[in-house]
Amino acid sequence: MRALTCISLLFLAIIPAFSQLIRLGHLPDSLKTDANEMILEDNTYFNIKDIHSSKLRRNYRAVILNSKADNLTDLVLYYSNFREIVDADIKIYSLLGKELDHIKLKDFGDFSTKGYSVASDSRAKYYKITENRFPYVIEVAYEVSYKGSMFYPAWIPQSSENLSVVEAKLIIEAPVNSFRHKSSGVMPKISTSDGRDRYEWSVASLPAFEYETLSYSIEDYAPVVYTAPNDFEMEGYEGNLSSWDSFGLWINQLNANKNTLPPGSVEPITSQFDESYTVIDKVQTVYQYLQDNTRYVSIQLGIGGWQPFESGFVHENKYGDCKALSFYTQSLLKEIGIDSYYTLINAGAYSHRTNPDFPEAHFNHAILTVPMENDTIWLECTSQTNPFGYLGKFTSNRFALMVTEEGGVMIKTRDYNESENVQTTIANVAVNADGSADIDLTRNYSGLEIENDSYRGATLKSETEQRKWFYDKHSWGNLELKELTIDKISYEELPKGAIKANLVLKNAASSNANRLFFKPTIFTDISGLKLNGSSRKYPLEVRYPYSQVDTLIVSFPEQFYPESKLGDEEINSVFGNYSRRVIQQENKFVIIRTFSLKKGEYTPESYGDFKGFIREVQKYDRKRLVMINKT
Amino acid sequence: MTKLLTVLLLTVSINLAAQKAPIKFGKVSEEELEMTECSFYPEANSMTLASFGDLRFFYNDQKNSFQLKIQITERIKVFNTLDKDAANISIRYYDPVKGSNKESISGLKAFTYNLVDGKVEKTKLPNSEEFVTRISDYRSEVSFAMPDVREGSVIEYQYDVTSDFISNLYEWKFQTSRPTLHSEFRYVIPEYYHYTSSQVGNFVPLEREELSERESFTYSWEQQGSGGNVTRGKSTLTSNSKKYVYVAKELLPLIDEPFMNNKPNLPTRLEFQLMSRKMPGQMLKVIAGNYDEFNETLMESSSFGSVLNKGNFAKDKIATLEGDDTEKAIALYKWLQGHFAYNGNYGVVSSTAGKSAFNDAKGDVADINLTLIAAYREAGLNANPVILSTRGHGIPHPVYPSYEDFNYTIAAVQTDKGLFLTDASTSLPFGVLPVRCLNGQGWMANEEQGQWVSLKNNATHTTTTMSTYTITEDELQVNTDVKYTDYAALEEGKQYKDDKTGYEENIIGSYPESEVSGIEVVTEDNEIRLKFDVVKYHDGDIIYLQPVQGGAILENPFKREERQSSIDWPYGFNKTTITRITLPEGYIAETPEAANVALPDKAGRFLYSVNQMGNTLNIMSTFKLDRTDFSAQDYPMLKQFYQIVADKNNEMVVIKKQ
Repeated sequence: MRALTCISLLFLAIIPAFSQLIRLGHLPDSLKTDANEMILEDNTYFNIKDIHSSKLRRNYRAVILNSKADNLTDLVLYYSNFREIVDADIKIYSLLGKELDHIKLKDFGDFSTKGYSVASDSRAKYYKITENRFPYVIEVAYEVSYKGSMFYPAWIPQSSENLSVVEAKLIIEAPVNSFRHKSSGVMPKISTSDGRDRYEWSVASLPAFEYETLSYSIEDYAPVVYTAPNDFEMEGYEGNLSSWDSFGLWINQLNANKNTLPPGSVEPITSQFDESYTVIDKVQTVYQYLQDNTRYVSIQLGIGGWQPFESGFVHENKYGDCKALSFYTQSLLKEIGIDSYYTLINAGAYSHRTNPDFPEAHFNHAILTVPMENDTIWLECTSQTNPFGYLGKFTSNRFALMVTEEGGVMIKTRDYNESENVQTTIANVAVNADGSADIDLTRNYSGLEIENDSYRGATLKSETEQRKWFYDKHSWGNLELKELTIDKISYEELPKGAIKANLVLKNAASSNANRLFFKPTIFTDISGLKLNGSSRKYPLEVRYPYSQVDTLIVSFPEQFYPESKLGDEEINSVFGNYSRRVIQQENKFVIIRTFSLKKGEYTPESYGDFKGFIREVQKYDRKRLVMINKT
Repeated sequence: MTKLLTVLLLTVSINLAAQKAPIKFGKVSEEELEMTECSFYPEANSMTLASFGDLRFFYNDQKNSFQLKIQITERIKVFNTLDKDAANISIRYYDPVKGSNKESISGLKAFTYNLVDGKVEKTKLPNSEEFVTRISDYRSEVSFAMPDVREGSVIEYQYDVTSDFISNLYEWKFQTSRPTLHSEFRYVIPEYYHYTSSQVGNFVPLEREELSERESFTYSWEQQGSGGNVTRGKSTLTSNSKKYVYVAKELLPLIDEPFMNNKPNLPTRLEFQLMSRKMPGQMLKVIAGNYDEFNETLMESSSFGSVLNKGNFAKDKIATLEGDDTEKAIALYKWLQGHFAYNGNYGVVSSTAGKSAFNDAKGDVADINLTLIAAYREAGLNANPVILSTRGHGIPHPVYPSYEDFNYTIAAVQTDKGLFLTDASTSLPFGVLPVRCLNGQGWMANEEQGQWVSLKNNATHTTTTMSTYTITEDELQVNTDVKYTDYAALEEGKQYKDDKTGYEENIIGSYPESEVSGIEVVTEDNEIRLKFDVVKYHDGDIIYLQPVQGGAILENPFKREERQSSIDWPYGFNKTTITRITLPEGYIAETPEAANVALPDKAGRFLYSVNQMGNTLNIMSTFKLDRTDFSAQDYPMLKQFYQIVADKNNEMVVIKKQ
């Protein structure tokens, strides 16, 4: 209780009691444009005592301008065994300075953030501000105490769109050389006194921004400061994060003595080997064994959030989280004499990307790296169904930390380019006089395209479920599926798979009177790629490239002749390529369409050209072939 | 098929020998371990072999009251690696931080069984791998991952739920997301309690049995004698109790299907309501009874009925009101709507409604709407509260009221123009309920007599599109005017208000081959009007155009071959497209044929008409769906109806030189 009182006094010392009027009219219009919320003043003090403890205090004052504000009005403070919320306080004022409400930490709700984990100690305190008299002012103060020092805060003063900032400041006080920073869009003033460093970052007059499509990094929009410790400690494990190398050694410390595989554990695996088995065959056998015998179970308690279970535990109980299963697989491979490396990564198609130049402990997943003579295999150990060596949008093409006995090493995971991510469709379409068509279709998927339309998931379903999948995912029109075969995914270099379907598409060509209108992009188009914005302020990125190749062999009944034909088209651009070739033989057509989108990062100025390319393709894709009945 | 079936408790006692439990914990058979697929749902990756609940009352001396203990046993078969997650178990229970009534979990035992080389191997879940987490201020969870799970494993666990919720007994769900071979719920009711039970959700036949059983309950007592000395002792109550057994077999899983927006109403389950209680030596106390009594209790409640007449905060506002009752009702509604900040919570009762909530200027739906009713009454209007269950919260029992069946209160006001249902916690126009409230019927409580009112009340989602085509030598000019009304206006208006630029850009984006200009949006309370012009080049001699465009049904939303669950739309649909094409001199048009299709019982209708007058061609497509509830049996018909509409709307007009 005493401690809480002290802190309240401290807050009072930091911000004078709020009494002055807020004159919105005095604030520049540039900060009001697109803004739902405006931070007037925001001070964050991060005080590092030593590697065992630090404190963060933040207090800010903001104007909530309208009912669309949802960032500052929902206060969520996360905590766990390593973070304690010492105090939090919210005051709500009218623009005239009249106090409307005062909320204390005890008024906050509390919930577990375990999600689908079986166990986790991560929790959050939250408070949602309810106020209808816009605009109004909020004054928020909270203090968080950190135990251990693996993570120091990231500072994003403009943390969301439609939020402007008048002034914001981050001050870090710390023992000399105890932390590093990676600052983007803002630089600190540094001073040292009494053996302590003082860093101060400040920003002012940041107008509100709005997110744009095909853009994934907050640094493109707003100033960001990442911080990380040099020496650190977590639940008694001390380490150094100033290099990936030394961080790797710390991970080794956590993993030490965790290989407790009972003798004979690999017997069921090695008994399958014969002389013809190459190293890769052996790795594949181990992976198959892992998939057949274990399952992913997330249990994150205390240091267990970073430390794997013993491999003996996984072997016996047949489950573990990403760390435990990767470590277990490493133990199995070690037992049969194959070196592999526990690897930390930021998983997720559009997640935070590890910066190789700034070592920090920000990872959310673990995989296993198995170096081969010519190549490297990465194993996703949490999935019972992942194709061998396949990384997917989840973990491909990014930096990751491979942990070797000598320390950590930054590596880049496998990339899949547009000539590998291919969806190929071959369809025989026999159009009948009523517009219906009998269709034989084969579609092949390779590389990341196996994730298209959840095809990968469909390969695992029962036949009945596969039919439902087909109906759900294919908006080709009124179809009646006769036969469907879905191949399992095979893996050689790249995952590959196929579906074969025999179906009747009742409205393949819309018909009226004596015409048939046939759109050759029934099966494939890029209408889902929506670029509506007329201009652009921030860079754009195509992260996952792909290609589509469609060959349609279309026939019409004898009495039909083309009234309006489709021409050949071709577009070549830096962004990708498009082509359509049409070969006609009386009332039979072969229509070949190819489209590819390349990986790339482009300046805002090239947006017009990019949009032009996409819209041009969409325009060609909408063209129809018109057949007329001459009888 | 969502069918509400009320099973009245028979008072006839059938004396049968005590039944055997359907499964005995720990007796997993080799046959179960050898099983390779679910006989009645072969595509299942896992199934429930048996789910067994056994409920009894007991007397809790500390609490000095009866409590419930439900022993639950689950036996699950894992067929293959695709659903090993079936072995990650979490049991959530109601455990509020504040409030004395709660549930608790105890006595968890769990084992995994495997057949290894023809022998049954059993692995225990160690206590160290059981986790208890407080999920929120209301719920906690026991969770665990079963060890040694392989293809073919059987996992079994058992635990006790201790519950204070005598009034609702325990809701037993027969149907889950997994196929279930045998689900059984048994309960023994002491003679002091009388319940009604109802089977709700998808209809599945239940086997039912009723038996007599003698129970005894021991309780401690203490008595203060005349000399001040306290005597303590134990006594036993005996009860001629009734035991009930409900069994369902071979239950299909509840699978996810499109348009399943009221899913919690679907699983087959048994719900209970305490009707009366008669403790030894006491008078019979009727608890639930009927809606008339329920209505009376509500209206007498200090946090419901009696707050409604505590106006006295709206005097000044009321003095300014003009016009008839409807106009007054609208004015008061808008006034309070703007005054209150809605905190995002639902609620039925409010102790602060009226002046106190008004001064706070914030609150949940009950605080706000009960305050609105108080203001209406202060203004002399005929206003009453309507309590309801929101979409996804189930359907209130039609005969036996239960307070827990309801979670929301709205205001009803009767004027000479009709009965208006309204919710001031929203930013909606007067008389329009938020979609979450469009769920069956609500109970309109009133001092004299309450009644059911329909909540959907002919709610519709209406889009009317008018397009005018002008054809010049090389251009096709289209002026489009779209009118969104009712729920379509709400939907469209929200999108527009959230992101005006994005909304306009989206319109432009949907015409990649054309120039779009003159976008104009006019928003009114219950109507959104959108205008824009499109110019497109054409090749000259022959022009192909699709007269029915955006706003109409161009694609059938129903794709699957069959369906298992019913469809429940919150509102009906009206989609009209009127296209006027002026033919240039010397051109003729080939047009689609007219069509007229109707669903039985006036459930829906589609009209497609083509008229040519001089050089003006008028094409009208009208789609109307009045019924909002369709059973799974109706699915093929509904799918076909939508298909006809989509096909017709996709037809083309050909315009060519004569």
